[in-house]
Amino acid sequence: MKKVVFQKWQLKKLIFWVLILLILGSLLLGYTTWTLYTDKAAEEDYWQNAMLNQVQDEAYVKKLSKNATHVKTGSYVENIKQIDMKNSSFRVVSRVWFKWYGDDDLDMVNNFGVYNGTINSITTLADEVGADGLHYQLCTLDVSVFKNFWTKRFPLESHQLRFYIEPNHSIDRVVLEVDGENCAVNPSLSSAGYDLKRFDNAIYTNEYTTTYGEPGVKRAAVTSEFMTQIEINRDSFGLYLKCFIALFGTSLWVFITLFICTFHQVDPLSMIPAALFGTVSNIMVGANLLPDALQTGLLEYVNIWGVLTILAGAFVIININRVRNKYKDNKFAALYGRIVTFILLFIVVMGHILMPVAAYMW
Amino acid sequence: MKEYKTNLMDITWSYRKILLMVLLFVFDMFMTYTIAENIALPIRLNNAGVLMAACVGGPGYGAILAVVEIVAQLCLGGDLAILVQGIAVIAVAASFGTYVRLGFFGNIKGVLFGILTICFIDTCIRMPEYYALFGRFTPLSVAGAELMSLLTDIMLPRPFVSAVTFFAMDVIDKAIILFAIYGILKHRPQAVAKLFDIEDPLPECVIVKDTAEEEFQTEKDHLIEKAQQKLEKKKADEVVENADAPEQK
Repeated sequence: MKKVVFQKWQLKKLIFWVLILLILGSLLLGYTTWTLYTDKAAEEDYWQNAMLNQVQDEAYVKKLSKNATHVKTGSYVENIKQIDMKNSSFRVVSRVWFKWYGDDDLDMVNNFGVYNGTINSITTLADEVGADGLHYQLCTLDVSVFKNFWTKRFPLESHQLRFYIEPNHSIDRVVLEVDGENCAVNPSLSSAGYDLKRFDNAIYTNEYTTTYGEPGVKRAAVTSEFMTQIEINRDSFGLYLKCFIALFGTSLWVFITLFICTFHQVDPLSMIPAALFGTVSNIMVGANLLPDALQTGLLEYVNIWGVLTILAGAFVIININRVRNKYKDNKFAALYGRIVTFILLFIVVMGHILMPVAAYMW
Repeated sequence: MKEYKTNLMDITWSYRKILLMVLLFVFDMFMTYTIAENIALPIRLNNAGVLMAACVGGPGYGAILAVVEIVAQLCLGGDLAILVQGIAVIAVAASFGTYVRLGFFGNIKGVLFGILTICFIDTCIRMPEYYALFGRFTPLSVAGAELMSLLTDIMLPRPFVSAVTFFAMDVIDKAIILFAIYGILKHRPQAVAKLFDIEDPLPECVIVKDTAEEEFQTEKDHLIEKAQQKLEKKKADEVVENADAPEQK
């Protein structure tokens, strides 16, 4: 029977490092992939929640809007001019129209605002009354909307861009309704780096939380708002590569040093600090595109993964050197080096595949 | 300095080894599309061939069979899950082959420890894959689903529930496979071993305190081997003498 002889310290060292790599690697990877996937899956809930018109006091709203004019509202999103994640805003150009019967005094096109938005320009394109008494108003709206971008999955993230058209009249005068048949988005709509995924419209009833101290008013105003939402998704892995190409290079360099240490008995420890510096500074590429208060997500996960790869590589090289110099055991150093190097390589490559897979909306 | 070779990844190719690979491939395919499809069972046994291959031919041999099986299953209309599981099977085959070549699989204790080790590695690799692609592990067997709902009921975190359920199901599966492999290889008929070029019995790991004991152990093994060779030669000579004796009479 063939026997394989191990000294106790050899076995301890081998088992300890295999376990450390497997446990730490899988825990970190499990956590990151799970959080990224959960964040991605939550997008669907956000989308559906935005479509719900949850009115707290339905009877009160019904009573208020009993004599209101029902205005059919629609939007056609022409273009997303700008997405500025660093300054938390996006700029959208769309056509908005209003249709209603009765109430000849109503002038919707000059009496609405955009929630959390600044209207850059508004141009009236049509303002007419049909033979059947149908009022029709159409305008082009260019608006910048404030939005705290959710950047957990940056640079493979998707965004839901919403803007709410809010009439200056409260719900006792105007109730908006969706002109669903005619709402649309420019099919060739694009913004640098993103593709359109879906769009939808809904009505949202908003009850203010304050009366602004208006004398004699006991309950805050209620308005009917028209919401347009668009979901955009990263069109490719281009930005991802741009953000991490230096990190991939330094990780590759560490593996080259590990291989030459294991297979050719060269001590490459002095080459590691440069790789570590390259990886640590790599985070600035992505961080410069985001707000200063950085949300922990894919960008950090991949960078942490890169830093840990280099540290793990350095520890393995130190151990191989120690086995060679202290114990003068080149045979075990070769065995230990090969096993640990291949495990590390497998875990690192798996991480670099699974993290983007978990984050990207396919 | 002398360059050492570990021989961990060495594969001795022969047509018999290829024949063995084909048989193990057929076995795994059969298990995949019969037993593994039966969701009432907590066992799948569809990696038995790969693990057997890794055991008799080394980590490289087992990993090659795993790759062939993934390709075959993808060609037969498999989905993304096949690829996910396939990567883990390759890693498990390589780990198990290394475990065997390092001599840890030489006795019952080693088999028990091997079951836990292989299942632990399998869980460590598969869980991040499941989280990344599906958000969680979904057991196919009824027993797995029961265990999962039980753990969920006691308010454990979902990723932890997935990992524990997978590990528990995997232990049952791998225990059957590894005990079967150990039994087959320990009591294999010589004719079968010869047919498939299975040369040595399972290597066994010996743990010593220090270099002196290691040298003593090596020398002891060397002398035992020498003595055994002498005994075998003596026996062979006696057989020849006995065969010649009647003729002399």
